[in-house]
Amino acid sequence: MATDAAAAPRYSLPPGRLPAEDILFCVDVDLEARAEMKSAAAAASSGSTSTASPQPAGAAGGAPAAGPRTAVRRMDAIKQALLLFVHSKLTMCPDHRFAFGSLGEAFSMVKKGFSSDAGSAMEAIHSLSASESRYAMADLTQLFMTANHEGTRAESQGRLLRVVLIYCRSSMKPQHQWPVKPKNFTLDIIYLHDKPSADNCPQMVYDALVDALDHVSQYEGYILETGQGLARVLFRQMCILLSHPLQRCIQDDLDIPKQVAKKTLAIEAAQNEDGTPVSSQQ
Amino acid sequence: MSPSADAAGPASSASAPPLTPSSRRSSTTSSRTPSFPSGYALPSPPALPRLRLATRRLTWLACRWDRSGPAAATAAPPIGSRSPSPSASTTSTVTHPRSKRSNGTRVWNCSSDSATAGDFVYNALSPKVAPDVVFGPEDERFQPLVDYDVAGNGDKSCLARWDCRAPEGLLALVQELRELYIEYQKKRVHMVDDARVAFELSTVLSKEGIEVCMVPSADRPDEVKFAVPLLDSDLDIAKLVPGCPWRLPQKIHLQVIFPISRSSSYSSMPSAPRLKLISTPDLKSLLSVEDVKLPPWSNGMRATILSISGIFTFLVHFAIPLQFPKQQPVLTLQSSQHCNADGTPIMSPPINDYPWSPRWDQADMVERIYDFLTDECQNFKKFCSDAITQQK
Repeated sequence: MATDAAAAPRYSLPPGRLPAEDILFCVDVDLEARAEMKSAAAAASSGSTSTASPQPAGAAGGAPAAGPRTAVRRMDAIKQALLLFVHSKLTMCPDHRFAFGSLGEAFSMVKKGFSSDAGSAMEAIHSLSASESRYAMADLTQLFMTANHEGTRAESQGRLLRVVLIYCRSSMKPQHQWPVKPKNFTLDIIYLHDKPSADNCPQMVYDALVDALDHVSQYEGYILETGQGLARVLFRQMCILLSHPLQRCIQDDLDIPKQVAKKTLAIEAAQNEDGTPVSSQQ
Repeated sequence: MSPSADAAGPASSASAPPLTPSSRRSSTTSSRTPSFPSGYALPSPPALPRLRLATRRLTWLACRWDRSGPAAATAAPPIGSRSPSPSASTTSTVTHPRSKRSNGTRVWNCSSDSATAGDFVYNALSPKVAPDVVFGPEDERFQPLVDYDVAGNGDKSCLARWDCRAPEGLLALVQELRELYIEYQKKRVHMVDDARVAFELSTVLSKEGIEVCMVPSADRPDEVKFAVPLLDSDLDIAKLVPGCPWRLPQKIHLQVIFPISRSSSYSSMPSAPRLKLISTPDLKSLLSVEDVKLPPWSNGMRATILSISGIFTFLVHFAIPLQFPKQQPVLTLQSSQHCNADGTPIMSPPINDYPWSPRWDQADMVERIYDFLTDECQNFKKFCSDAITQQK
């Protein structure tokens, strides 16, 4: 992959047919998924993602409306991010398929089977809802078991299985009893957390997530985190996960998206708080 | 003692430093490169000559091979002719009067797919003389011996040193003619005036073992057939399995048959080529080539990039048409932050009227598209904001 080194190597993609993906989403539905996002996100994003039925264009978009005073919660942003992912991925290739599940104390599927139908994905996404209480644990064993089973099935169909875990708890480390086994699925993680404080331990949770990823992921999986509470950062991270695992560089080298801002504006872009990489070439 | 989520308000304006893994994260990938097919199916080979080498049963009927001209190479020798001169039997029709040549041996068979056929014919009265070879009507222009002359490098056909006692003589001749025939077909195909075929030839023929030929047809457009071997030529399955009864090496090819578009207008979409698997008979017992479902021909290629301008993250979908680079890629921008009321992300209309020339080199094309997108994404950002405002 191209780096920012002085003699940046040319990126070249060897010709090949990439297998279509079966992507299993696992969304944390703990109470912490009800945490509010930054209010700026409400203005930047639009519409509602918590209603199940489509609203006519021009309507305010249902509750919670995207007005400046209405809070957008993590779960709302997660749902919009999932819709963004599904539509983008299907635009890239209509053969990809999706399934959805939730993580409470353990993993459970919203409904069986993978589908490339956008409508059924939207239904499953809208059916997710955050709990009103905290769970006593976050056990990933069943998730890995399901993924492993689906991974074998996917392989026999010439497809690639992926798991995308969206985790929201700032003080609860995920756990699992998954033995060392041949890896047949790739795991990505998005971790939404509160700012580190005396009362939480997102760093420890993050480390545990990293360990889990290293333990199970077949190809290079990405773990992306944010404590800023900005929906647009979550959306950007979801877009990074659109990349096919067989086309990925290792996470240490990950530097997309790059700014298209022209050279004079590059300095301005560097001052924004998103921490996006600034491209110094071109 | 975690703070309750209800109490969580908007974060302070200071950004949280990113979390760092306390232990260095090892790369979990084993850099496994899956051996997916490269997208080119194997073409079936043009006919493999099946040699029924001369045995005592063969009654030879042969004429001397005469290199005096193309007609000589293709003329069918009259039965019983003693005359070595081919001019006596010059016929450009090159029919196969099989009934007259009942004493000849058809040595070079072709698969039923190929229209070509060749007969190796020995003269029963002059068995020491090299055989004549008679080709089908479509190959009137195949002049292998003329090619040697034209090449002018002193090479000669093995007919020039024909030794009737050499057991491998006929095989050498068949192989020589086959190689020349392959080159002849390649030249024919190169002369086809079809942009897509020309593109395929320029990118594919460098690969080992791929053969092409013309498939002329009376009742439908001419076609060009590619044959791509699927097995390494040095892989002999029979040797891998002890006790394997197969005597001949097995081959399996993918045939890709491109119809040649007659019209020179580039706006018409060429139709997808036909794909077919062809294998030798023994291999068919193991792998049914009829039932194999080959992936459909993709109608162009798509790629998507992720980009950001300020805090506006967006995707650009590239649809690269089959007529690329004559036709430019179609660009569609998509926001990551703006969506319609039903949750679908806002997309731009397809853009294909940006500055473009197929004569630019690739680096130029990329740079100009980049510049275009740098400006266009500002328009698109506004387009998205307007769309959101209208929804409220």
